[in-house]
Amino acid sequence: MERVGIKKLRFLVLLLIVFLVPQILYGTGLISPYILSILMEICFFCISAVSLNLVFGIAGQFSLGQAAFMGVGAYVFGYIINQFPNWWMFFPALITGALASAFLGYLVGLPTLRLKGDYLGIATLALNQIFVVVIQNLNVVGGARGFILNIGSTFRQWWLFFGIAVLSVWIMRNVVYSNWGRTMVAVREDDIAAESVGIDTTRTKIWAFVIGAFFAGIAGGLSAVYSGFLHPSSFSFIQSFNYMVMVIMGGLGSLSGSLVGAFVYVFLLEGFRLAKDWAIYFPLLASITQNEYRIVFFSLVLIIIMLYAPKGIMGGKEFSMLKGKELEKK
Amino acid sequence: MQQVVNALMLGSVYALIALGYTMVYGIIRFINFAHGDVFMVAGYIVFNVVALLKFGFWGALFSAVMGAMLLGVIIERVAYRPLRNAPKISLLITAIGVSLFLENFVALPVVMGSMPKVVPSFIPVSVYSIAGVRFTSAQLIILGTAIVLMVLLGWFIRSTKLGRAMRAVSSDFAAVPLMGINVDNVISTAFAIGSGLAGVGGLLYVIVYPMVDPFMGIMIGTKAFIAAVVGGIGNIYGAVAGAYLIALMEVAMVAAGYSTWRDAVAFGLLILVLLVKPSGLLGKFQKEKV
Repeated sequence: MERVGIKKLRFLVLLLIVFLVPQILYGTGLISPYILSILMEICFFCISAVSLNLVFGIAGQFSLGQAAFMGVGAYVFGYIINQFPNWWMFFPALITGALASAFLGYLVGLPTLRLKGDYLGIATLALNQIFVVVIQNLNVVGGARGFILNIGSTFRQWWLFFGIAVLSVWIMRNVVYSNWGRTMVAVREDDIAAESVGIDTTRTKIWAFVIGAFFAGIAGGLSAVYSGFLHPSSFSFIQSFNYMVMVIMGGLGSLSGSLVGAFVYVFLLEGFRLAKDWAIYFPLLASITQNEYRIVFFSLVLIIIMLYAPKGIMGGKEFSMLKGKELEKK
Repeated sequence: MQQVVNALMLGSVYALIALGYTMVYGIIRFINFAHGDVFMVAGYIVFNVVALLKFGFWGALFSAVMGAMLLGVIIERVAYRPLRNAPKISLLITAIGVSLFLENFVALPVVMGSMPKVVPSFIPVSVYSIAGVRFTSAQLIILGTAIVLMVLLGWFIRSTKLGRAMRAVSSDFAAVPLMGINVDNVISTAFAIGSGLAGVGGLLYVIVYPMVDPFMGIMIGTKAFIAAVVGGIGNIYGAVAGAYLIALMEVAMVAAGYSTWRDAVAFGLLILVLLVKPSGLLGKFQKEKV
């Protein structure tokens, strides 16, 4: 009992440090707003990656539609907040966006009665693209021109992003280690066996999609706050691949893996921009660290990671802080 | 009628790419997301040999097919073969990595640049008219090439030793090495043929739409992939049928004036087919054994 107490305390202290250090460094001007904004980006990527991991890694439902869930959250949030741009409406708007996304998740969950594996992935990918086409034709939210949020940088606060990310990941972690989570793992491992011990597999799959989509919607709302501008192309299935990349790069089925994956993903892409600033002192390096090379290097590193660590960086392991009680005893 | 001709052109391009998807999926149950980019690279090869070396049709065909085949085999060798026994999803991510790499490598300023490039015309243009429908010689070439290749492929899969080996790998991956068939060779061949067909697809595409850009493989590749799934992935006749079906529906949609909804058609059809008959129009339904 006491040990767990200390562990929790240590965890809280660690969280506080992770929260305070960027805040203080930013306050004293040691890090630029740019770096702080990268950290904010990591926050909502983490939410999105963990929620995708919940759907795919824990419940085993191959989903390539993550960007559409985020898009629903982002557009609904953006639409509401544009009508009432004040703090009172921030959380209601965010939650409404997430609920709308969860509803889409429910609709996607229904066909899982019939589809599994690659086919489910393809169907969700198709759904994602249909979402993009629908948005492109919806003039209420700007259509193909994009949608500007007139909220400035009121909500673009580090504490807000960090707080929501911690809360969401914590809730999802609890879901994973609850009865629900175990049911989902059972369905992932073998849904026929799961069904034969009395698990309602259909309901479990639908719930996995609903919960995953809910948090993807939250991540989408945050991404809307982050960029202040929504464009249909930022929610195309190519973006869904990116979240999949984070999850797999980190390690499928491991929540810490998704966090690491989101961090590594952003670090590889944005770190390259930072490297560029340093590379100007080295003549040969400078010529290959132009922005155009960014994704070329990223994809090469991605391929190399997958070749040498096919199970992801974390390889299915967890940080001790994120482990459930029954795992701690082992 | 004119629209039907257009649909046949588009359908031929989709079909040639869809064949590559379906062959690879049929053999190793893996969606090769980089396939659309092989098509794109082939388009660029055609652009280069036509613009710089002033090649004609046959020269362009030869270089596009050879280049695409080489690329396909190299990709398989470097990026996919080491992961043969890894989880399928790692393979998928690697494919996404390869796809990103090809797109952005081609888009580098020192390679081709990210701006679209116009391909100069390289085949003689003459217009024929049959019963009020106008054909250009380019359209005849495209249709002819596509049909000849599909018939050849059908013959290859049905009647040659290698084709039989492919069907064997497709039906039982584990038992095939026991029969003394080299699985690696079969897979390489599948990649080579699939990529070669994508190369032809790239050539035909730039004949109809004389424009290349580094990201053109994404949409066309995805549509072709959908065609393969709609027709029943793993089945080459299904892929061809699906490709023409999707092309016909798209062209009909544009002709009806809903061009902004064009992309939704293919994807909507896909969802519909998956819900009604998940194995595709011509696919075999595999019962799961408990």
